[in-house]
Amino acid sequence: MDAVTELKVQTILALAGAPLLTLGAVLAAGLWSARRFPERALPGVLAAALALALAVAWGGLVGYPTTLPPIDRKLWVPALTLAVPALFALIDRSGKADRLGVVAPLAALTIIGSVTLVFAPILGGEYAPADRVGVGAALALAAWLSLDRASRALPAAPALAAVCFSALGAALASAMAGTALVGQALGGISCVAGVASIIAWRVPRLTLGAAGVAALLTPYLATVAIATLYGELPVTAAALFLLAPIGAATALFARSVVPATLLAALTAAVIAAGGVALTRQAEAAKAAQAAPAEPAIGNPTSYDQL
Amino acid sequence: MKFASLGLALALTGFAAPAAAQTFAIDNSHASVLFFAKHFGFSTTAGRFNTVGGEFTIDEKDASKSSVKLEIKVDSLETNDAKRNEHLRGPDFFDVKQFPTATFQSTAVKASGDTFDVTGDLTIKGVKKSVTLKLKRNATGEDPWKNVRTGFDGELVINRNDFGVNGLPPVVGPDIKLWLSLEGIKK
Repeated sequence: MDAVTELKVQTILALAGAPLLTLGAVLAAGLWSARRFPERALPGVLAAALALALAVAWGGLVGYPTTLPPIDRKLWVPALTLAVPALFALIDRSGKADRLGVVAPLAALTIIGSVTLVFAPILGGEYAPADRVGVGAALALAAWLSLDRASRALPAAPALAAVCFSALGAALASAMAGTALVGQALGGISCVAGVASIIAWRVPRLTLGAAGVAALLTPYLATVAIATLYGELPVTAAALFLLAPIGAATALFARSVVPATLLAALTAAVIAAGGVALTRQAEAAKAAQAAPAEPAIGNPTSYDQL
Repeated sequence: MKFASLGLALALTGFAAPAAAQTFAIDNSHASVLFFAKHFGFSTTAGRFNTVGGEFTIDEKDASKSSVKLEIKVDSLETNDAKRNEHLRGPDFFDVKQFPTATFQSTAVKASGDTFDVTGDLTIKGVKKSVTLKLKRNATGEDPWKNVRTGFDGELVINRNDFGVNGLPPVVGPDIKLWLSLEGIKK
């Protein structure tokens, strides 16, 4: 196997293979163990499957923490992807997850806590000024509550489809902005959410619950923020990617699962496409600024080789 | 007798003989820290860090009392490709916003003539590892402006994965060769 083939196999395994196997295995085990109750909704099963699969997708590409606290703050993400849904699962079990007054403050605290853990070294400085972080957190909260509202009123498929297309757009934009690995992690999130959406459409007892929303949004929002604050994703594009899962709320206007899913996916995709277009524009402007007046002799190649 | 006592007192306080240890500040414009990485195993891509600071102390009588301290601004890296430079600065590789500097602080120095084995803590991306840097002294002397200068060349091979700089395997090989040339001006 040559080096190029090896790269593709390794990346595909980390990005899609291992996470989808995890998702499938946990869902199969959950459905098997609940086979005595064929009519009962299973929010915990989908949330657990998503949390594990997304932690595997993120950690397999970017890394897992080897120390606590991790030296590299980004490595909080797989730990938070497992811990935050567990916290929201308690709210699901207590029966208080339907109350906005319970979910909203907890979501806000989660966003503030995650931002503090992941971005502590630069928070408030030139790379992560307080106003920018504050606006980002507000957009993230709006997306969280929209997804929560949709997941309580509808089957899981529309919300999952909205996150799938939001993450796909963010993945393309991150790769475009020169953060390939973080872009691949977003690709992994998109892939897991997309496959889970198809499964949830076929198996309607798999509902998201507050824990499932937390499992989806914790890694997604954190990774978009990493691509922006530690990477070069334009701030305006990042704002759209933080907001894109709000598309799930448009599914509330549809009466059955298929149009609801299509509506949610389309809205999220349109918002995310705006983010991709802004990123493309910013990269083109950067390239035009950096271009030498005359072509460099003997150096006609681009960064494509890496 | 009084003169003899004064001489003894001066000798004891270090005024009678020149100090054995000399400290040199690194001259950034004559300091090079280059790195070499394999690209798919096809070729070797070279880069450099343009901002290097620090100092070294050389004790000619007792090499074990010598020391080296380096500070590299990671943001100053240059690989002859603007897009690649940006990628290397980002979270996939050095993550300069979170980890703006790489440092080396010696912990033990052994000398054999003009060759020095400098063991110390190399910190890259917040991860500290003990490494041994082999330095060879090129020359020591005065420049035309009467500054005393000394210069060393040296090299070291590290595994980038040990320091969490693990983006794009196996496009970029794990072993990174560092080549240094450091010139210091006596303080």
